[in-house]
Amino acid sequence: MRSPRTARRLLPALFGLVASLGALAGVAHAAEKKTLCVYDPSGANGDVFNLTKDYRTAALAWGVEFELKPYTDEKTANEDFKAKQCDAVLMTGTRARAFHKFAGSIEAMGALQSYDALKTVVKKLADPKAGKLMTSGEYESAGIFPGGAVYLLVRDRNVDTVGELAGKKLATLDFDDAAKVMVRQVGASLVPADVSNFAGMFNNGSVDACYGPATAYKALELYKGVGDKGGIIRYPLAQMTLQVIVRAADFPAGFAQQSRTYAADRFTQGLALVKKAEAEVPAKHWIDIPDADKAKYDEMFLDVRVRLRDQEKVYDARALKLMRKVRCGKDAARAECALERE
Amino acid sequence: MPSGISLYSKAIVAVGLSASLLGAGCSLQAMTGDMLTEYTVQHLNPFMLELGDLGMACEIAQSLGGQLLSYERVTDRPNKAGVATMASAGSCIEAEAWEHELRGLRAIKRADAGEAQDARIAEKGLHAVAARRFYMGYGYLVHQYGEPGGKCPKFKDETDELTWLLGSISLAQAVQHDRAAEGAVGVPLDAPRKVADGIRCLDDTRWWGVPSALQAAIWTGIPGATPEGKDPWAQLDAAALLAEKSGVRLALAIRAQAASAAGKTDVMRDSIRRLAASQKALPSPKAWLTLDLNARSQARAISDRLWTTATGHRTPLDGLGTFWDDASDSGGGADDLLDDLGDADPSAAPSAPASAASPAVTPLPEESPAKP
Repeated sequence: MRSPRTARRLLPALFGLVASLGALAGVAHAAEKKTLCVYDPSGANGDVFNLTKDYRTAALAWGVEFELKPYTDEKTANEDFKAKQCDAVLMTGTRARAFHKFAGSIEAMGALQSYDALKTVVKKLADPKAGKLMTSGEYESAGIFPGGAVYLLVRDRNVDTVGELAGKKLATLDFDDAAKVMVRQVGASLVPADVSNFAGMFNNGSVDACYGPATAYKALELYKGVGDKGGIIRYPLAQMTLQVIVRAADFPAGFAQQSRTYAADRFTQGLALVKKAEAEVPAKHWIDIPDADKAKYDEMFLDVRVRLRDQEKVYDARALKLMRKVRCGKDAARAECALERE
Repeated sequence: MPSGISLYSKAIVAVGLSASLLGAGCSLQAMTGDMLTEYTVQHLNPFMLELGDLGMACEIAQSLGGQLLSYERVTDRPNKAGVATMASAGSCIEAEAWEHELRGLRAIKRADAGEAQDARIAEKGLHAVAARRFYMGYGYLVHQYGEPGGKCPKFKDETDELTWLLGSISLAQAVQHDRAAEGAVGVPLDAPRKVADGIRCLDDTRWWGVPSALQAAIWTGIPGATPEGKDPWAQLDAAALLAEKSGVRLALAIRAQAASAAGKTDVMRDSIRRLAASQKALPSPKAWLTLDLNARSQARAISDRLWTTATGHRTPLDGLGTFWDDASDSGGGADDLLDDLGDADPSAAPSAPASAASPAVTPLPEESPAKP
């Protein structure tokens, strides 16, 4: 008969065996631990970070356990990713362009004027056939989420055409090279700004116009700058996106593809908050412009995109071509479809 | 013994009183409602604030809140009582949401995607309920005093000020929970700035640094919200000192939350450590014990999240203010004590055989009993 002491010695071994059998049963597989740095102006309390919590859950199935790190400053998130403090980063397409020119070019000026068009592009890029396009050097695009159409907000609603923007002061994000070119193209006066001060500039009248998604309208109280005389031009300047960029070699094979598929499948859900914010903008603040004016904007956008592709080397030619095909697929009568400048 | 005249006159007075009450639109229900509202504000709330039992405070709000608030159908809306009641009811659901969050984190840790997903769904649903309750509480504040952000209301007494404080915190919490619930309730996105503006109506020192902490925390979460010349983190530091001094440590909990949201791990840990240390060193004022415990609960929620992510379990029972990776003191402190001792025991080698029957020291037992 075994002594109690022997039994006590055997117990841990028994537990170890049971635990091993449990692991072999394959209820769950070990996931690789990775850090995902998430840019959200509101940090861990924001909508983007919240969506990332769902993303983290989904990533388990692709073999990765993410630790989420909130960043209220996108520049710092960008630097930490560069410095390998993060294995992956979620940031706006404008910033992501530095790591992945193709994916970042989705935010090109006036390239996608509807959420439907953006969805088509996101779905197409989530197709495994697009895998090659999604890799850029050591980086890989691992998902594109909609962040909302970027609109031009003006303090004077009479300023709603390309021509009328000439000479007007426009708050322009200082890291956004594409926006700078557009501002110069329309002859507006560029006032350098960043995420933390553009709303204040607009609201106190230091600038005549600014741009941003509808989600900023209430959160940053842009309605104060719009007041009774201004408005929001309901013709998107661009589509803001939130993009996951990873260092491909650090992730399990197939991770980025599964992640892109997830993002594409969640497109509508991701857009829901944006649409809610757009619905909250009072109808009287929207400015609907006639088709003739839209055509003028389109012309200007096209010139800006081509210049940013050829001279500034900001946009990826293949991305611009893809988006032209999407636009022309939805409306073949557009003037640009015959020109094929992209 | 009362005289016949006296009885007669009493009857007349009673009939007259009843007639005048009915004539004024009063009813037994309305009188009960008024009485209950008055009782809640004058006695129940102060009692619960003293009691120091978050569970009871939350349960009574959940179970009796509906009855109290329903009196708005027959008499004046119970605004002041409504703010505190809904804040308390919101905190019940908030705690449930946290539990599901922890369940999700544990599931993530063992790579159980299904369980993690289920926990996320449950958590988000509860965030929506919490958002609705807190926002409803704020609604009572607006009914009573008007919307914060403009001119400050005239507060008659401490109850008014406390109601303003609780209502403002409720709105901030409603926003947070609604974002966590993907905007299910639709709390306006500009609500936090109203809180940041309206909370200045309260004296910061009197209310333990909570007004300035709340204001600064909101500024840290909205780009460009911080007024020129202000430093939200310095303001949070100052509020933390007031909290420690006063014994009501809500401002420290708010500082921890702001730091958690901004990814400032050092500030977050510092806030939790200081809150725990301060609660050990200085008892909270009797009248505000429940609020101080609420601060502890908020800090514990953040701490639990960190602990669970790192270790798979929440903060140990007595461990608030400690972290799993704190330097262990089991090694006995200074490393150099072990230097220069050599590898072998020079005194043992020549004379004592290795198989000495009597050991020089008492051997350690094979298994030490667990310490209580």
